[in-house]
Amino acid sequence: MPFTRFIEGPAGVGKTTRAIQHVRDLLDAGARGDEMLVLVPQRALGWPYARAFTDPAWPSGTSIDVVTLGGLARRSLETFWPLVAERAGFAQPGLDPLFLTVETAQYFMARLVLDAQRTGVFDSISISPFAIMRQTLDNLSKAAVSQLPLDEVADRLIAAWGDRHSSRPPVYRACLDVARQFREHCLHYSLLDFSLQIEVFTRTLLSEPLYVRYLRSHYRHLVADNLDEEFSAVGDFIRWLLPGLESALLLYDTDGGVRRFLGAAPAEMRTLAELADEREEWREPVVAPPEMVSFAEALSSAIVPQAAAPAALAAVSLDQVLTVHSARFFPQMVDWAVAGIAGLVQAGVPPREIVIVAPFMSDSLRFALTTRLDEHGIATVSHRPSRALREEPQARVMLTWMALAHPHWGIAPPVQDVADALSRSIAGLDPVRAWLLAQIVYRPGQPELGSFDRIQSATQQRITYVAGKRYERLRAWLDAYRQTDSGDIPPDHFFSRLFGEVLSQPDFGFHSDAEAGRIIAELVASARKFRQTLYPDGAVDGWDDVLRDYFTLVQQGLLAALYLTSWRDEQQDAVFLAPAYTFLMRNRWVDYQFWLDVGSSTWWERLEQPLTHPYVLARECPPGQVWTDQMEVAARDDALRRLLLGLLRRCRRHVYAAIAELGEQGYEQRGPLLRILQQLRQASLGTQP
Amino acid sequence: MAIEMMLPEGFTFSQANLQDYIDCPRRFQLRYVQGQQWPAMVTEPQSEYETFKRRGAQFHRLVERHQLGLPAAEIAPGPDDLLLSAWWDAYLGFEKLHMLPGARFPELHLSAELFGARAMAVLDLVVVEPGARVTIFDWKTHWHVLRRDWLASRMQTVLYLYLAVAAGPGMWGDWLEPEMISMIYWFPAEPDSPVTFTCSRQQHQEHGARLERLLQEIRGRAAERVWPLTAEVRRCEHCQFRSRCGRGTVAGAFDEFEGGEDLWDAVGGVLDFEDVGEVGF
Ligand code: SF4
Repeated sequence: MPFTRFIEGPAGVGKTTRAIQHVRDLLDAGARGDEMLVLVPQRALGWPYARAFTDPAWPSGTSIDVVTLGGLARRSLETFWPLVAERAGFAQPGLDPLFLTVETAQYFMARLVLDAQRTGVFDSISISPFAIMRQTLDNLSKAAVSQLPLDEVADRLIAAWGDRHSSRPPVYRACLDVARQFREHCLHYSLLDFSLQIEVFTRTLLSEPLYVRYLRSHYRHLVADNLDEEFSAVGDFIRWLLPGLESALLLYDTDGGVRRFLGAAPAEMRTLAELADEREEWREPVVAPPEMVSFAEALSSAIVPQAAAPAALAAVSLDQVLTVHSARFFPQMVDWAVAGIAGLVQAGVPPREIVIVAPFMSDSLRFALTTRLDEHGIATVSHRPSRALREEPQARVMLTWMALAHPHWGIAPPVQDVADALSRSIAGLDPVRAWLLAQIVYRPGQPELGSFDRIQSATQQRITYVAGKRYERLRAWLDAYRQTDSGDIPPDHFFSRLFGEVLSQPDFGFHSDAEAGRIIAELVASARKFRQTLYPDGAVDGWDDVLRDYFTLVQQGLLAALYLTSWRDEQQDAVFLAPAYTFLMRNRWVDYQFWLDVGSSTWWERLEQPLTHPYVLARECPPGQVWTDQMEVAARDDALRRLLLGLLRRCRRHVYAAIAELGEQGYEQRGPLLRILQQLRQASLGTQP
Repeated sequence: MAIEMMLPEGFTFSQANLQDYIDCPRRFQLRYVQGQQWPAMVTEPQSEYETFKRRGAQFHRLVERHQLGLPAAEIAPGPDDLLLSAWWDAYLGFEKLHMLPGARFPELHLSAELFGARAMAVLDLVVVEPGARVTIFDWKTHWHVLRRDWLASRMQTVLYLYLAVAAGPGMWGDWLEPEMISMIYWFPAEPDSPVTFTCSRQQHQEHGARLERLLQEIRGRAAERVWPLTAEVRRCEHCQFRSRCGRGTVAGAFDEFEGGEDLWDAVGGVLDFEDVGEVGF
């Protein structure tokens, strides 16, 4: 057995720093970089390692693998595919694997879900096809990471209702039926979504002697960080890997486990400590000041009394670390936060030392904060959850031109869309002139756009000849495409060509628009993955149907933009705006945190996911468990406690909590977090001399 | 401005991004300093380019599998792609490689300090005979043999040989001298015409001096100014930023695409150590 050390401690005590030093010590002692495996639950949690390993001063040698279990599985399956394809039940083992992202998995799932919906099986719950797809994939993934058979998922979900009447059981079964059809499809075409990657890797590849030999001779040292956020399957993998290693360092964040809603199994991961030769418990924070630590502990005790040490609030004046502001209306709350941030920046605080968190960041809240801070010259970087591609104005422009380039589809965009596309596509054409132009040249139902030359000269003058000339270039491109290439190129090529040959040329709207470049790059990537996933060998009789399918799915809002903020984005000197859970998963420390909408009960609520359940699908939950209201309350309390502890332990100086008495939707707000903060304030005042 | 301030944290120099700088400083600036995405066509017909890339990737994977010990009979490509099958046969007949003694490291990633920055190289295959020699193989799945002088001037040759000397002893032992390192470009389409480069102490110094000058030049540039656009306008035909620079409308023809394979990994720049990890759900 290797020498195994298990270090446990809250966030901010220096565990990751220690792990990086450990890797360095191993290198100095003669180990090679490629003999080490650094396992993290999520890509962003590997950034501190990647940063250290790319520092110029880091020792030269082979690169060190910093991966998630999913990443390791994918990489291994890609290389060792011939060993497992047949054994794992793939119908065409000669076909190389194609790995599906959440987005590409939806291409197939969309058809299955829409078919199922038409039969009425989902009618008893109010849910969008997009949500059905997501939660069906979620169920597959949860089964894989908890290593449960798919049948058990439905059983567990149904059992959770106990004797209570529910219309859900047939819905769960329908969801699982869709999941099974999806799985069959994947097995037929060598497609691997996340769940299948994990299953084939753990069940088949890890019992393949050649791969086992390779893996065991390849890795001699393991570092596993943030085990509290890991899945049961990762625990199994570590137990399997340990005997062949020389050393292992296992790190566990006390009170972490905020990814339970994704299937993390913190309690089970903690049992890995039993395998350790040495266990260390670190308590001394190196980041948060003592006042913040006391505040965190007091808050924790107030939510779940037995969970933390007795409140040490008496020793601290809450004002040192917390400011609470109450505003009547939502916009006033935003104003207060913006003014506070502007004041801090003026006083010399770098914007990247400030984060704004809320349980959910609606588009309107994000927009309000971004524009208001922008007025103060303060940059922001925001993490957006996935949202439909069609919501992006630049993507809509491309879709409008796509529809007009294929008139035989019989899809006539509204005049307003054409006007918007014109105004965004042609430099110098304002919305009023674009509307005028659109009304004249575009007749829904007519196959082609009219010529600028045919417009009366007084109107031409109003639109301007310069804009008219540019419009003619765009029209000529669409005409030429219709006549020579229509249906001959796939959708991604269509977007690329339209973007490169017209819309990003000088005199056109996207010429120096980096944001348009980014969004259209995403559209192109999405369209490319779409056709590569559905038609991997490109064997189609013309691309017209594919173009149209893609267009329809985007229009239906079934394809999402991913918005993976990159490492590059987040290191900018900018205020970070994110849902609270997202911020925690970045594992960043900041001086100042602004918590918005503290009165909202959404701080305490679980994501509405009627087709799945994070707790009863966890392996540690006994099969047949009835999920009671008390369990739900306890789970929510526990999640809130972990969330707040995570936030406070990542704050060096001060928390500003803002309340809007009337929430974004105009309702009175008195959520649990607000009550707890008020309670603590009272207690704090009571202990002041 | 220091390079570290200009480029994103974790930025790692590679043969691809250094070659980008040499080909066109503006391209380097747009791609890595500004991180701009610009989804215009690189070449036409795009479908040929994609087939070329896919086949190249498949060949690399086949060789990697074989070098890791998977039996040749189990991994041979299907009959659909005659060209790939021909390449595979050529590889199986590559006696010099198969007879070469030593430990094999397919798809080896080297990483080393480079004049105050970080650089990395992805080597297709390294064969190490302890105390004797280190041979680096690079599979070039081009449709023809690339000229020796062209290859010699490429950053791939310069950087890989330099990094092998810089990082090699730490990996394989103090016995390693520059003279023991060689790099072979092997063309499955022309298996009998490999292009071999050897190394020497002097050459290592020359490579180092060249790389140092290059990094100094990059460091000397102001991030907020527009960096020089290439004087070789021909290059713009196969560059995605053509429209951004006002250097043309339509992408250049695929059969005039000299760089070809090198463009695979030209996009990115920031160490993307694992780009699927977050896809769990
Ligand atoms: S288009 Fe030409 S000038 Fe512009 S970045 Fe590309 S190669 Fe350089």
